Amino acid sequence: MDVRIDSFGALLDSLPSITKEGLLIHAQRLPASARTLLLPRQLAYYYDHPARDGEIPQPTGFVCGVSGRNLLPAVNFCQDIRAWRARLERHGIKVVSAASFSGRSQRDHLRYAKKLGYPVVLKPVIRNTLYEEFITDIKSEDELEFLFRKSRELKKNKASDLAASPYAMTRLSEDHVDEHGRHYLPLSVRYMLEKQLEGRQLRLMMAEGQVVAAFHKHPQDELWQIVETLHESYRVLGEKVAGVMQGMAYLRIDLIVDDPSIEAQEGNHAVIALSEHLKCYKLYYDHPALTQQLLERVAGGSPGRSLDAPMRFAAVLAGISHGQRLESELMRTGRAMGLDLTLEELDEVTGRVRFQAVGPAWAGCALTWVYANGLGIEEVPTSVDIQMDG
Amino acid sequence: MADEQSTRGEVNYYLKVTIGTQDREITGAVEGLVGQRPGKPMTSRYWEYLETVATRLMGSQLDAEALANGRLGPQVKAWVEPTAELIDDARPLDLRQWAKIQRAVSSIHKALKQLFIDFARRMKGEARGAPPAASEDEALVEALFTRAEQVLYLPEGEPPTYTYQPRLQGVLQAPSPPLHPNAFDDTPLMLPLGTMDAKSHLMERECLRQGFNVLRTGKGVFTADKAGQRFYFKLSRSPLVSVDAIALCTHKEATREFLAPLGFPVPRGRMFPSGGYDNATRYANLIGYPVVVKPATGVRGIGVVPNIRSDEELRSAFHVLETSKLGHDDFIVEKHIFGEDYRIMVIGGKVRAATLRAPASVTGDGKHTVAELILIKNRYRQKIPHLKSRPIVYTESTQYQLDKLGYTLHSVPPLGERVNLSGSCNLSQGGDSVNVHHEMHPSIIKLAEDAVKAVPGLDYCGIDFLIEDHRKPVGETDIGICELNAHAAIGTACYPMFGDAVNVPRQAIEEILHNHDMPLAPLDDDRITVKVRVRGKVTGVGFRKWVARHARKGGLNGYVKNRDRRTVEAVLQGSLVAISSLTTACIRGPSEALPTSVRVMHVNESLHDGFTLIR
Repeated sequence: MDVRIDSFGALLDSLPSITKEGLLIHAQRLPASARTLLLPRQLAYYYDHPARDGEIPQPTGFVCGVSGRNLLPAVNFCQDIRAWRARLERHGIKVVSAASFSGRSQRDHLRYAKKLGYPVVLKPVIRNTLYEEFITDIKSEDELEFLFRKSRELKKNKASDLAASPYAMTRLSEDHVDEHGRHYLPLSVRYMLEKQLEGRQLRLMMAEGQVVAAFHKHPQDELWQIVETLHESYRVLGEKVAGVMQGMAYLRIDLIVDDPSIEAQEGNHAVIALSEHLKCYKLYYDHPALTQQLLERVAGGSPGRSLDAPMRFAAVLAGISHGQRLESELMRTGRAMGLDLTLEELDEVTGRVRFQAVGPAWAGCALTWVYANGLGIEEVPTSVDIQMDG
Repeated sequence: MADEQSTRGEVNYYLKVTIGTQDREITGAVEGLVGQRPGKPMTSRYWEYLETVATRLMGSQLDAEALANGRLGPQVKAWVEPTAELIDDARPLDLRQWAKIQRAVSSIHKALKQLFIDFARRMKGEARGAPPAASEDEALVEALFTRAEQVLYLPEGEPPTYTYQPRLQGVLQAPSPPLHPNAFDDTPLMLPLGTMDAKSHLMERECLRQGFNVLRTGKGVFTADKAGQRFYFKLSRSPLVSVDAIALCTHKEATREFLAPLGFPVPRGRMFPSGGYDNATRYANLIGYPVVVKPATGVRGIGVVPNIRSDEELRSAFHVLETSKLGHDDFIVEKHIFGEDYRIMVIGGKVRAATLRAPASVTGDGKHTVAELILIKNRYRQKIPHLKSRPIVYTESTQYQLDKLGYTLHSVPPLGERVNLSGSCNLSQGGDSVNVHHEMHPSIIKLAEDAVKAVPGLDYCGIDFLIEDHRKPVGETDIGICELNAHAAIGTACYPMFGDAVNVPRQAIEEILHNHDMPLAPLDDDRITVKVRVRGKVTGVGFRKWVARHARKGGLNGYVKNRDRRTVEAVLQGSLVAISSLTTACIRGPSEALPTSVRVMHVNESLHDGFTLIR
């Protein structure tokens, strides 16, 4: 059955959430770049101009929609809850009450939960995936015990696994197998138990150490709303956190607050999460103008370019195993997005495929992103090299 | 004497004793078990005690009559007398600790006593005309090499040398001048680190040298701060690397796809999804054997099979890959490149060190056996902090390599012949690290710098090459980029076995400061004063005693005291290496401690006299 996708929004909705941010950045940068190289693990390199003789071109890099301007160890500290908590606490920034427990201390975490009082939140101490894995609203000891055991079931990540964080510390641990033959994470892997606070969620978007946007919502709501009157103390708090997390050019700070328009004081706020992922895709429909500003700030590129404008490009796919399958699938996918495709070369042995495409910019961005990351297609290339025509 | 990880878990030391009489030598051995928890501080104290016992034994004059009658009791007792370091102020009331030490000492005493009774019996038997046990010495050497991981005793011999002499298309090239082994004064000062990884420690050392205060919250995790500027470090992951650069470098296929279109020499190959063996076999036939199979996101050589020459070998390689830790991953088949393994360190766009990683080998001197040459080389490896815990070990692979040459452990190789003992360049398998930067061809250096410059956000990189002859220009020698390492280990270049040492972490930290427009302000390496605060479960666990012992050993002045129930505070004055080793090791502490953070701050204090444990 032929499927038609007639807008960027429709395509964005159909993708896994961990690939959406990357696509938004890609849509911002691709039309403005002379050459774009898309590699596995949502790696994208954008070259502003074609390579000149004797010059080593310097592209702008993004991974999973995260800017290459973020320095590695700072991002790794963001992924390690214990590490950033310790640093924020030392600078007098209020963080949510929590403690971490390894698989060896099953009773301790139950005892601690009792001390904190239910409901509690359970999350891995070190985030090795792009998903922010956390379980909220745990209301009883039985529930916590079950979920703690369940969380520790081993999930192995492949290089091509989109959920695996490409910049996390590599985990090469031995499997632990229980008496039922189930694979578990090693006992040393730690989980964090947090008090689930009541109040409003406040999200501060930081760029170069400054608050560039603030949103809030009640935990049960889906929709993030722009904070109209953010109290100056929260702006200062955001800048203080960004100061502690130096090396993070772009940072998302999540807090629980009583009211973002009232001064931050002891007992009315706590930081619950830091992340390198700004998650602009969550704001894309509800706050398009602000989202666009954020994307332009992170991605650069050319402001004001319409995604519906026509675009002509040539692309080379590498690492193809089944030529025929690729050809039929590529043509079908291109058609579904309203692109006019011409296949120029298909070499099954070397795995290289070259084609030309004409169509709306959003469709070109979407097709190349879908192919680079193997989203809903059978024949997945290892790289997509795009040259802009004109 | 040898320390080993017995598969049976019953024996971890082996002491070979040779006594010489007027006309002959008799050799015997004792073995036993002390300090069963590898990596724990107590284990190293037992090991040092054993070393002392061996030293006391060596060169001892024995009374001929007492020896002949097996009555060396008082002398044996003196040899095994526990050392002050072993006892470490353990009071008789500290029953658990005391009992452990007593048990260890008496077991060695008993074993040595029995050994000398056996010697006496053998001497009497031989005096009556009984033949000596056949090839007893050889059996002992075999036992030693099959089971030993660390060797303390060695015969006298010339220091080992390294001479680079590659083959180019089968033709032996002119040799480079021989290089002599290094010996670093840092080795004893770095003892507190034990088995801890040196990467993070070396970075911390340089941060302290530049006047940064350090907060360490894990074995490999610390923050350095100074004048409001803060840098994060995780093992050798430093602010010189961006988040996209690491994602590229840790994916071998992505690295290839990135570098190949820019004209860099990467081996021809491609990635296949897990289980895609049929296609991979077809591809191997297309590019031609020999090929290499490796996991797409591999580290430390896991699952890598090189030099595959047929479909059959390829099937075996897939089996190796499948059963490895990364067997579930996508994999790569690529053309095998001949040549030796190099790690070129590029910092701030410039090559700082080029280390050749050569397989374990010994060079014949026409006098010593292979076994003795291994012992001699291992003794010199003990002087290299990075190789101290990585001796040449006698394994099946060593046996295989010797068999290929028609040698055994008892063969005496002729003068100048290099005897390869391993097929792998891995330093942990006894490989040599040789800094060859001085003779590397400029075209290779430029190639390395250009490749790293092409990757945005990569100001620190260990680029792995395979090169047939590093003295020849690109184009005249087979060359291939295997890997870019954005978090490359730095100990190899800092402490090479042969060639000049390059302080890579120092250059990395200086580059970080340069990137952030911060001035270089190095402190005097020998006159550092810091205040250390260790938080966590650090009181009532012997933490102060542990700090004091290591501080005194490292020649440091200052004091250590309990600040409150969960904090130990110390002031350390002395050399940078000794201080930074101890502050890094504080995150682990003695075996019963559970420290959560270590804060190291530069302070101005008048010079303390010695090191005081404040009670």
